[in-house]
Order: sequence, then C-alpha cells, then structure tokens
Amino acid sequence: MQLTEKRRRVQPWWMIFLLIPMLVSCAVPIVVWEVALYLGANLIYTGTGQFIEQVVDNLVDKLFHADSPGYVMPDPENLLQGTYSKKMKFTAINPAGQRKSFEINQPRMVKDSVSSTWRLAPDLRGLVDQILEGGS
Amino acid sequence: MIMRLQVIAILAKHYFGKVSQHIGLLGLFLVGILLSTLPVGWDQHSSNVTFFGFPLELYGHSREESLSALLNEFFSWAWIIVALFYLSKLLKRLSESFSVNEMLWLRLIPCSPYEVAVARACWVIGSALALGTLGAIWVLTCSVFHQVGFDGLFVNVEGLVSHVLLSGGIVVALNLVIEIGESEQNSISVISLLTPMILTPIYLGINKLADTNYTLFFPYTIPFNRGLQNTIFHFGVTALIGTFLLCLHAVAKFRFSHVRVAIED
Repeated sequence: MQLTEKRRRVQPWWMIFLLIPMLVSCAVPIVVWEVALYLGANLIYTGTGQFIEQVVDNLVDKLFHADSPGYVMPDPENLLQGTYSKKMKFTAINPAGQRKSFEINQPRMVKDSVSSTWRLAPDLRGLVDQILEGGS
Repeated sequence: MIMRLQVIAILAKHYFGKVSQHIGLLGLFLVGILLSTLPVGWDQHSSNVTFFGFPLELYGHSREESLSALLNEFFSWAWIIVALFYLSKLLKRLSESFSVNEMLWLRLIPCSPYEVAVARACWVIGSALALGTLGAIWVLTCSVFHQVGFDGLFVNVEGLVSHVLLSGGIVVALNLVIEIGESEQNSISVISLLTPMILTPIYLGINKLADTNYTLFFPYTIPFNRGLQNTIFHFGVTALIGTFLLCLHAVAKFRFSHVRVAIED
C-alpha cells in the first residue's frame, strides 16, 4: 500500500503542452480527406481518369443494366434534342421471312415539344428506312 | 594524391548492384512503350484521342497537342512509379552508405574516403543517366510511332533525371554538413525524395509575390506539370544544383587525402 502511494506523482504543469500535438493530430484525417478529394477532382481531367471512368461505366452497364431500357439524355443547350443512352436495335422481316437487323450506338433523338414523345432524328430515320427497305 | 580508377570502379559496381535488381524497371519501360504506342489512336471524326477505343477529351487544339498531353501523362505516371519504387530504394541505400557499419566494411578494401565519395557520386549520376536514357528511348519511340514532334515530350524525362540528381544531392549534402545517426537515415531519404516536389508550391508563391525574372531559376521538379510554364528551365536548374551537391560532396572528402592507404604485402 505504501509502495503504490509512493509511486503516485503530481504531473508537472507543462504536460498540458503535450495536448497541443494531440489536438493537431485530430485535424490530420480531415486534411487527408481534403487532399484525397482534391486529387480525385483533378484526376477527372486527366486522360487516365477519363479512361477509368469509361471502363467502369461500361462494366456497370454490362453487369447490372444489361436488359434495362435506355433513356434519352437531353442536350443542355437544346432540350428538344438528345442522345439515347444505349444501342438501339432495328429489325425488319421481309415477305420471304428473312430477319434483318442492325444497331446504332447512341442515336440522336428529337421531339417536337416538351410534352411530346422522343423519336429518332429525321436523317437517321431516313437512313434506317433506306437500309431496311432498300435491301429487301 | 592519386585517384585509383580501379577502386572507384569496384566501389561503383558494389553500389549499382546486380542487373537482376533492375528487372522491374525494364519491365515498366517495356509495358510503358507498349501502352503508349499501340492502343493510342486518333479519332478524326470527333477529333479526340482514343485509348483502347475509348475517346478521351484532353483539351488540345490539334492532334499533336492532344497526343502529347496524353503521352506526357503516361510519362508522369511512370515517373511517379519510379519515384515510389526505385528512387526511394536508391535514396535509402544512399543514406545507409554513410553509416558506420557500411563504411567499416568498405574500408576493408584499401580505399580512401574520397574514392568512396566519387564512387557514390558516379552511382547517383549514373542511375540518373540510365533512367534518362530509358526515358529518351521511350520518347523517341512514341515520337516516331505517332509522328509527333519530340520537343514537347522530353520535359518529364528531364524532370525525372533532375529529381534523382537533386534528391541524391540533398542526402549527400545533409550527410556532409551534419552528423546523422543511424535512426535518422530513413527519414532523411524520405524528406529528400519529397523536397523537389514541395519546392513547387513554394515557387508558385514566390513567383506571385516577386516582380523579377530571377524566379525563372528557382529549382523544382514535379510530374503532371501541364499547366506550369518554363518547366524546362526549372528542371535544368534542379539537375545542375543536384550535380553540384554531388560533386561538392566528393570534393569535400579530399580534405582527408593526406591519409595514406596502402596494401601491406
């Protein structure tokens, strides 16, 4: 009992200064997080970042959205024009019973007013008709 | 005082290590050449650089600008990999070469301090030149393959060379000026690895405040230097300062040249 009593010491007052580095170290994770955000934001502008982005997009599309319907992304400057997000497949069966199909990757779409439905751009529409009818 | 080239050659060979230790570097070089030639293309229709068929928007105004931006990016990645996995090892071994243990082992060969110092300087400068040669071959291959002018592509190669030289020079100079114990060797190597890059924000700050052209000679090196101007000057100054420190270290050891070292027969 006496031994334990002897071992107790009063801490010197300047031990409070040891708290300052501990307080500073609390800020370190925040700084690391901010630096990571900064690096990530700048990585988008490099070719490598864009390449990784597109590869991951394609992978996610192939793995999880393989059979989901596509959607139309409107242009920011003209909301009546847009791009379809996936491949659009066109199929025709001629009188002889032969199937004929082809795909257009991300075709351009237009619509007449905000409330009307999207349809294929006129020049693409003409091309599709020409291919499907002319070849049969 | 005679400098015995044979002893220096033996010591430098000891420092360089075996060729098999640098296989990773050669692998990086070959993979880099493969990745930067065959999969990189130019899409005339949308005027984009393509990599494995994926279009990349690189904000270049012409084919040459966009392509050299992408290639410089590849060189910068290679620079970062070399700095992390090769240069850090080199600096660690360099700072360990000043330890009492290693010096005692080396002095079993009848060599004098300045011969050790010259061999050390040869080692660092030789490594830098070897890396520079590999980089130059890479740049010329890309330039010939893509038919792009090579004057804009050499910046990162020069930067890597200057990085090696300045980092090695800082390690050597610190060991010359202050007595460094065994425990500090590692931290010295890390600090010297980072110093050339930490100098970049310092330069940017000084350049904003100072109204002179002398800031053109401020030393710094950094990969991903696309937005920076006159990088070729700054990197050259960095390389010169690094070489100067290495030579200074060798010359400073000549003060021990009155010590006679001889083999007793």
